[in-house]
Amino acid sequence: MVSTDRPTTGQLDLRYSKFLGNGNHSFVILAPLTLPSVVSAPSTHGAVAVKLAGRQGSEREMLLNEAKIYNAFPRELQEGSPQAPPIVPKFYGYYVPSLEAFDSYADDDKFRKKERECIRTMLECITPILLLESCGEEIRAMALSSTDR
Amino acid sequence: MVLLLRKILNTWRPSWRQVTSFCFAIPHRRPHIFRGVVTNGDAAPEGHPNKISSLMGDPEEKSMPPNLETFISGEYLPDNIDVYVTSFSHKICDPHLDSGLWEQFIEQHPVRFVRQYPPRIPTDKGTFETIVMACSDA
Repeated sequence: MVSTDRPTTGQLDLRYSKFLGNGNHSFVILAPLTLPSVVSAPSTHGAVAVKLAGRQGSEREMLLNEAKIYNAFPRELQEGSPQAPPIVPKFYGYYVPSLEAFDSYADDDKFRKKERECIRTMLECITPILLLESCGEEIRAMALSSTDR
Repeated sequence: MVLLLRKILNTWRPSWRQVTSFCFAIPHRRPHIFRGVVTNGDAAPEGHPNKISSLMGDPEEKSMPPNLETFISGEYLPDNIDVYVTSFSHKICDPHLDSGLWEQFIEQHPVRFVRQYPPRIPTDKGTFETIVMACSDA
């Protein structure tokens, strides 16, 4: 368990993203993520897979459930070892829109009260994001030999 | 009759045109940002995710960095992430909302997200602790 004096903040830039794929309930894009520097490591920058859920509550439940599963994976499965390669993508966290952050700076803005309420409503309906390692091209089992499978 | 119908369903193969029409038939099964749009590889129309990069910004202006491959233990993941978006991105939530207002907002602010997993536990001192699974410390 690690205690931090103040919250750290990274940056995810969806303005320069690339579509990776979609399923029935979500879609995935590639986007640059900047992690803040900490005492033991400098700032880190790299592209990560950003998974976004659809609008429906059930679709968001699925994404949340996926996040819980990734969070439960032991480090060895994500990192691998000299004897074995990684089994699952690295997990970089599951994040939800922060209404508290909006409320904290909304008073400084030029927006009127009604407009602030409207923006708040927009924030409430934004999908959470699941950040994962981008593992390259999808494996197509049919294209592999029986040995490789 | 049932057997005949089952045989027809088992042997029927839809043509390309029939497959694309499925997008209209089951719109709730697809992200709404391209609901009602026929998708076809490189010829993806405006609004389809294949066009997201051009809608979110010119990819030529800023190249994508190499993939992040470092394992980062939960306690070192940021507590918050500021997400920089364009006006297009609001369609991820609801196209019926006032896009002009949203554009004004995101011109001034990133959208802040807070980490939910790995969970942050508030302490009595007003700080946060991150619980990392014991097996991941091995």
